[in-house]
Amino acid sequence: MTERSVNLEELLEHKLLWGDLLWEKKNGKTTCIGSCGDFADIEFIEKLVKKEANLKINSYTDWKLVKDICETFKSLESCENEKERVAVRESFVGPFLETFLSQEKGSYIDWFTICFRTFYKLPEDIEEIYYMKNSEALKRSMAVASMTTLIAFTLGHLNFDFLQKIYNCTLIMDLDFVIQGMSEYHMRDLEKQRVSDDPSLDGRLLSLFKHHGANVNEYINRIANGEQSLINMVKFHHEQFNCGAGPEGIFDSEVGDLPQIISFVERLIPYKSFNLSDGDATGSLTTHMEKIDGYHRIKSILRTELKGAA
Amino acid sequence: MDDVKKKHILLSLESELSTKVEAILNDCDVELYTDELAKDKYDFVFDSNPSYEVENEETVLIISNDASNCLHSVLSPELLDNDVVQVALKRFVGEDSTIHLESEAASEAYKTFKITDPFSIGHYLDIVSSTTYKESGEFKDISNSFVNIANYYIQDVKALPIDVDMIVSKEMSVLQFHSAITDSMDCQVPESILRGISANLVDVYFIEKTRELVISLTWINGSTSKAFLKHHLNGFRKSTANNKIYENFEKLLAMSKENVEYTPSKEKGESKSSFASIKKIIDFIKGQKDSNPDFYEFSEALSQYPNKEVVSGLAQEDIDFIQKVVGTPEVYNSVNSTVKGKREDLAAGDDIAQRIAGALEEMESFEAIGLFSDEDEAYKKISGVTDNQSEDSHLVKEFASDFEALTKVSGGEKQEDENQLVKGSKEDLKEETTVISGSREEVDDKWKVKRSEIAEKVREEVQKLVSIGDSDQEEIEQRVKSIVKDELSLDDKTAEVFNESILNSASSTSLGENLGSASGEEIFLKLENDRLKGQVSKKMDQILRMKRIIDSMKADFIAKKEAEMALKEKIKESGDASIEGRYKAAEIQIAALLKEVSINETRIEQLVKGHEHTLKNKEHRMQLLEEKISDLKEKSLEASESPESKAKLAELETENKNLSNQLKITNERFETISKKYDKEVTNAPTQFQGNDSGLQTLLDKEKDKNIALQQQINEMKKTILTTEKAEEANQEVSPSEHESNLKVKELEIQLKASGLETKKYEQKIKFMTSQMNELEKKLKKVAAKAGKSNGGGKAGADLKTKRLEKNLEKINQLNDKVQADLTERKKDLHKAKQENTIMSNKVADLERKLAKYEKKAA
Repeated sequence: MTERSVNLEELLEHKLLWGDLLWEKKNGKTTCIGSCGDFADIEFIEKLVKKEANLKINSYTDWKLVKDICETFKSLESCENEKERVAVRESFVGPFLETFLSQEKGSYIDWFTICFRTFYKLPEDIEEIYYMKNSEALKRSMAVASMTTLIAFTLGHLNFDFLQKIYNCTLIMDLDFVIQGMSEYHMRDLEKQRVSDDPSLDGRLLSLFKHHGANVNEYINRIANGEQSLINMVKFHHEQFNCGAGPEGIFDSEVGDLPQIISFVERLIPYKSFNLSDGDATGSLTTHMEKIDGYHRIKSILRTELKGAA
Repeated sequence: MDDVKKKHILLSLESELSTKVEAILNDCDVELYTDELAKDKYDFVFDSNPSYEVENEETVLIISNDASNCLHSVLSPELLDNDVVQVALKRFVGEDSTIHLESEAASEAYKTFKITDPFSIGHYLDIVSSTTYKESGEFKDISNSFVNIANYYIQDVKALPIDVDMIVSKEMSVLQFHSAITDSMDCQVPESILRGISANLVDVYFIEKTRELVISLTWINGSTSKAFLKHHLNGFRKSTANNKIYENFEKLLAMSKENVEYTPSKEKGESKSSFASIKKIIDFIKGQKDSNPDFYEFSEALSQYPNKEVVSGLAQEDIDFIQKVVGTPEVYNSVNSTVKGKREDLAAGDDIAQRIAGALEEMESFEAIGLFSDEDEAYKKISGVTDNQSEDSHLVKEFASDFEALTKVSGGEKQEDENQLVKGSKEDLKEETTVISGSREEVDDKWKVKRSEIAEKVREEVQKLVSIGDSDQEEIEQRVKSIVKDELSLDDKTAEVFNESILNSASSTSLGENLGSASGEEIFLKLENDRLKGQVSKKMDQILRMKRIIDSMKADFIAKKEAEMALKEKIKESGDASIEGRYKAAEIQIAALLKEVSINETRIEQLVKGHEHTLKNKEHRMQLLEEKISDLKEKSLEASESPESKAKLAELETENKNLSNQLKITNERFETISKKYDKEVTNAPTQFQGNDSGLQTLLDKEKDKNIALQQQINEMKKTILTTEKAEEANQEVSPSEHESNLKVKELEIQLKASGLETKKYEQKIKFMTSQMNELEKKLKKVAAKAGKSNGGGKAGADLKTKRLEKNLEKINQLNDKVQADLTERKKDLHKAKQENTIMSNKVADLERKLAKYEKKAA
């Protein structure tokens, strides 16, 4: 972590906070006005800047890693054939798994930032919905979208445009829930359901919204031209494929990889108190990953690739 | 969760197949039925008839080898033993499965990748080809299929990404594609794509819950059987992750080509010779063998074939095929009949003119010469030399070396003075020697010119016929024959031989083109297969016709029975109806009976003919197939352990099995038809019985009538007595006496009529008895022949014999009854006659007495 001053231009450029944004008041007290991974509240920051406030950021981001991987994805975008894409994947997988699964190196914010800078293309009106109703939900969706996209790439989805669609479709997976009033209480219940052994979405508040994944097709049409594989991915993101206990009752024998990846990540990323800056965030994720039933394919590739990288 | 309803499956298959399928589906959540009447509606019907028509939206699976253009799912019976096919079959009937191939694979053989870019097919094609080649040495079929299906997903269905799982091992190769699709109607994979796939098993299914379209292709090494399954599933109900293979997942992702060196294998004797040229060689060598059987030797005869280029281009399997055909008369005849049989198709084609002309143009001079009975004559005809010229040539031949003869050569016999210049006159000599020597090259040149002329003429004439619309095969062939005859000045016999050769050559060429670059033997076996299949289908048509006849007869029988019942009731109701009416009713019944007897006779004849024909064909077929099998077995032993030989052997064995199975089915159907016929026959006697009772009734009534007559006669007697008394009292004859005389006369007439009727009944009964006897004989014959031909069902034959014996007993009993009735009636008739004569005598006496009285009165 490094703490340093930050100006408005830099914040405008990044949009997303790469560390905790601190306001050093004239009385010497420091207030956190934005957490690592939040969208910068530009309006408020502009006001502070007008009043000549002193702003600092304690960065958790490994900018070299971010820069390198962003370059990697840029080269992926410009690849002319599959052989080149395979080569790009090979250069990506090692660092990804090393930082992702290791408790010592890297943090979630790196990959969060990489994916935001590389893939983020959410339409403004949808962004607005999140800002107005539940920006925490967007942040969490971005966390899920990042890991989903990166695992999909690792498992062989090599087309850059398709990866971008995966990322942005994942961002809207809870949009219907948000539109219908997903609140802090819902997120708490969802968190309980995520970490408990009870696989069913049977909370009183949640049961009304269990098919929210199926109600965002119009947005998927805008982002991904209605591709069925992405519709399935979003629709089945709450499924529990090893036992068919999700809202749609789907088993892993009936779906491809993408729904299984998003469902796995959905159960991995916390709804509440997910600290992207936490140095051992990935460590806790790894621990939790072991507890999730099923998803052997995904777990296996993550473990195996790490062995290979080591 | 979905309701798990048991699926109801009707098995309309042979018992052996049915048992096999039952064993496979034993642990599935299904109910199996073999009787179609057990339920109104079935979820699935497994049938062996490719023309099965869906009745109640059931899903149909045809288990047969002969279902190439079938609209339903199809499965070859031989594949039922394969594990992968069994899994596919269970999935077809709704059992749980998975769209991921890894659940069924050992990790070493399994690979997976995703196609996420429409232009990345080439990269993964390399991976598929190199992986397949590394394992099995071949990759053509799998590569082609991979490209076709991948393009289908991307361009037709617009589905990306496509998950592709692959298993490649020595035993089999599997390619499985799946992707989520938007429109469920897109899961109808077009026939044009499926035809390009050479896989043994093509399984296409769509999962409603997740909208996944799965296309799975399986190649089973050493098998040529085919299966095509297409179905919709609601979804699966279990997780089927195979955890074992994830231990080393990196190897499972196929991202790069296998490191393997491609070494093209020496293609073992790929046939470059056409079927037509092979046929010509066969005919040539056969000719050699027939003309000189004692000194015939195959390799020498082959070496003597004039067209060396063609002989050098023969693959070893072609040479083996030629040797086999020449060495086995039955096979040779079979080849010839197959070629000849295909001439019909030639006549039906639009390009027949071109084909026949082409065959002519390809006819070599040695072939043409070989068609003549005499070689000299052949040279003459081909060269166009007349008889006069030929005599001179003959003389010159003899004296060719003689100077004097040379002097004769140039100018002819008489011009001796001019001959002094002969030696120097090269031109003259040259001309004559050209004609005389008949060197092969020169004859070749002349023949080429001649054949082109004839070909052109044939082309024009046949084209004219075709354009007029007068394209009858026989007429075309006759026209060709007449052209050849005229052009070559042939006699009728030679022209016929020529004609046959040209037409067979055209037919062989056409066949060879249609069947591509297969070897001669493969072409022959395919043709033979088609021919036998044609025969089998004709037999099936016959069976269907017989079935229809029997159904119509059933309907007739029922209608007649009803009419008879109505008639009987009418007769009963009529009570004192006139004798004529009763007689008419009896006539109608008898006429109906006679008609049925004639129908039965024709039916019996048809059955008998059909049986005999089937038996002949079966024996012939079995013989040919046995020869084929023995030849192929020898060949396979000689040949190396190559996949091609194994595949061919397996193919032939499967063909043999298939044909045997089809024959079995045919026989079984004959048996069922025979059984149905038997039922009809057993019902026939009851009809006789019924009629017998009708006849009995009539005869009884006749008896009653006789009794009534007798009573009337007694009354008349009394009347006569009173008259006599009156006469004694010398009273005048009263009018009542006249009346009594008239009555007596009436009675006489009635008695006569009754006698006539009785005679008629006797005759009818005799006739019926003779008919029954004939029917009996024929039934015995049929039973005997059925017993012979149905070798496969001894129990069935015994049952049939018993039934026939029972029928015979019934008929005999009936006959006895009728005979007994007849004798009784005869007795009655005799009595009536006696009484009649007595009465007549009495009447005569009375008349005399009357006359006396009249005289006295006078």
